[in-house]
Amino acid sequence: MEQSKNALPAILLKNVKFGWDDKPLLNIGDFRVERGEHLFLYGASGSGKTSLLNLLVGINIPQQGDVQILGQSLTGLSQRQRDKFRAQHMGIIFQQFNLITYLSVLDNLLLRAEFAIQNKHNAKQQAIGLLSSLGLSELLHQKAQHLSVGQQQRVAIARALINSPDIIIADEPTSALDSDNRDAFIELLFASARAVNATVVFVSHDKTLSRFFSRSLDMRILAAEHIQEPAQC
Amino acid sequence: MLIKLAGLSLWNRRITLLLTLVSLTISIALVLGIDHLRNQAKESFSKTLSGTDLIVGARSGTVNLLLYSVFRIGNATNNITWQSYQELEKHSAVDWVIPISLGDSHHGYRVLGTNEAYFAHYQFGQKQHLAFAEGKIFEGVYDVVLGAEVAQKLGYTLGDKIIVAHGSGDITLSKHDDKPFTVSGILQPTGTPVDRTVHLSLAAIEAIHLGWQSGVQSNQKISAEEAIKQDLTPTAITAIFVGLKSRSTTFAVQQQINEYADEPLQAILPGVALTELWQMLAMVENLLAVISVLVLVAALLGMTTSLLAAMNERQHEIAILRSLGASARYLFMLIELEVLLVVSSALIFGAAVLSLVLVAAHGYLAQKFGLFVSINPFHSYTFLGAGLVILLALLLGALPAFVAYKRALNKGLTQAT
Repeated sequence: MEQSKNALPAILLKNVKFGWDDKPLLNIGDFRVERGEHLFLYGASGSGKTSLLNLLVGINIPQQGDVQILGQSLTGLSQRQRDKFRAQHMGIIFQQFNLITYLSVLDNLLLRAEFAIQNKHNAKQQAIGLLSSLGLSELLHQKAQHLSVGQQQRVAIARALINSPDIIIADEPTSALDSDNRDAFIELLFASARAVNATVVFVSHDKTLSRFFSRSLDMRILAAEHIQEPAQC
Repeated sequence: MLIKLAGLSLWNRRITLLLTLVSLTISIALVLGIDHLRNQAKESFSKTLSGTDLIVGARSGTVNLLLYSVFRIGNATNNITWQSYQELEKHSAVDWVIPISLGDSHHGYRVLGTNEAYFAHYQFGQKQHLAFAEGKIFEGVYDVVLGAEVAQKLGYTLGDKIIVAHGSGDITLSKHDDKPFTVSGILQPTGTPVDRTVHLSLAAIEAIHLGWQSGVQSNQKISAEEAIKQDLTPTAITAIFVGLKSRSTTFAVQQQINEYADEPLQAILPGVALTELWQMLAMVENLLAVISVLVLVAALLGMTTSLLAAMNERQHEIAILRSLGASARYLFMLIELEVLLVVSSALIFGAAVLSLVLVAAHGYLAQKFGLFVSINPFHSYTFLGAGLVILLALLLGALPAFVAYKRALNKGLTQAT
């Protein structure tokens, strides 16, 4: 298992059905993201992307089908095990409000380390190193609420990277940024992801961003894949 | 980190929380304060009289007799004759007797006629005897011994002349101004009604009432000098404090007194009567306690409400924590820890506020009301009470904590923007 793990796709969804109150939101026959891949998911609001992300990070589990992350089936894990798995293997970046505003930049990273890192005694050194490599060393003790949005998003990258995650999930991380900051952000994200060989799933409603990515997928098509529905099992 | 997070999160919401904290602090100070006063009142109450085995008076109610003889509240319905007093004094089981004669006043302070036995045998607190701060017991007929508060409030020193008024109001029309008294002694403070009493000899009581009939001075005045020459043996007194040689005879003597053929008398056991009286007051006291506890519960509910309301504003925070890998249980703990921090600080502040108030009010209460309240409001069970308050708060806090937990499970990474 351990040896073959690297060969397994980073993300694999099979025959997944998910919805609230009998209203199906997602119906995904086969969705696969390879290791190290940078995937762009295009989706407007209401396209089911939040539901998909909640499935990917193990906050929710599907009513049917299987979600495998790094070869590990999330559906077989308990809520707590999934929380732990997420903490250890994934880095998540939001559209905005990524940081706990009343904590300092450093504490925001250490909070993440609290959940994500086993070996906590050098977490602080690691966090400081990471922040300075992203050009944030001067902001170490700033309260997050005093940062600009661009700075906040850079801190969010630093935080996502602290456990050298296998998968980085970014949900509209650039929508609050202007175009210069946006491009810089994406380049920084890619460079950082490559450094730790992380898979990136990037969700946005801004189709123009797809040019940065090797592969693009439309949420609408993904969410309603009826094709393979009952046949494959 | 959890503690730091909870602390900083609270600090971040300090303005809303300040009100919660203030209301909790006030109510905790209130509960502690009322409890403390209750204890102090009960303590000083039971300290009023000690060492006396029986109180004898004319037949009326137990509490009534206790009130006028010990607390100088209300009036005797009837007197007892001097003969009865002498009979009792001669009784073989009796060790000592203190005669008490009430009815007059001085600037609202009750005047009490008695003899040397009062200063020798009257005890309060833990069997403490009365002691003189200045001067000595009355020797002449027109000498007076003042309680500590009387002397202090009215600014009397040894040798001052005072006039006793007939009857017991602050303002009385008829005064015994033809027979002024000289202050011969001032007692040390006792924290009991003795401090508010003006002590005369029984002979003096007789002397100032010579020529009085049914509360009105007759036409033929008898001067102070003439009065001394007359027989000043009292004909009647109000009550008698009795000390027995052996406590085991208490009930037997009580029964003999109650069945005394020559006069309707009543003997009461001060301890029993005090308890009885306290139980009457306990109604009020319990009501106060209940109200203060309800105020505390209301404040705790207020805290729960504000925490619940804050849950909506904190949706981001919860979503972020979840995305970082915080379990729903972690969020539950976070909220409960916040509750713990708020309530513990309220307990500390409440106790501090009460202590400050007690330190500040201590002198005032002693001076104005003769109430000696100890500065230390903590009792052995205070910490148990604090524990109960924390437990209750955590129980109530479980509600917003559970909301955070539930929301964490259902809403996932949805961000309200």
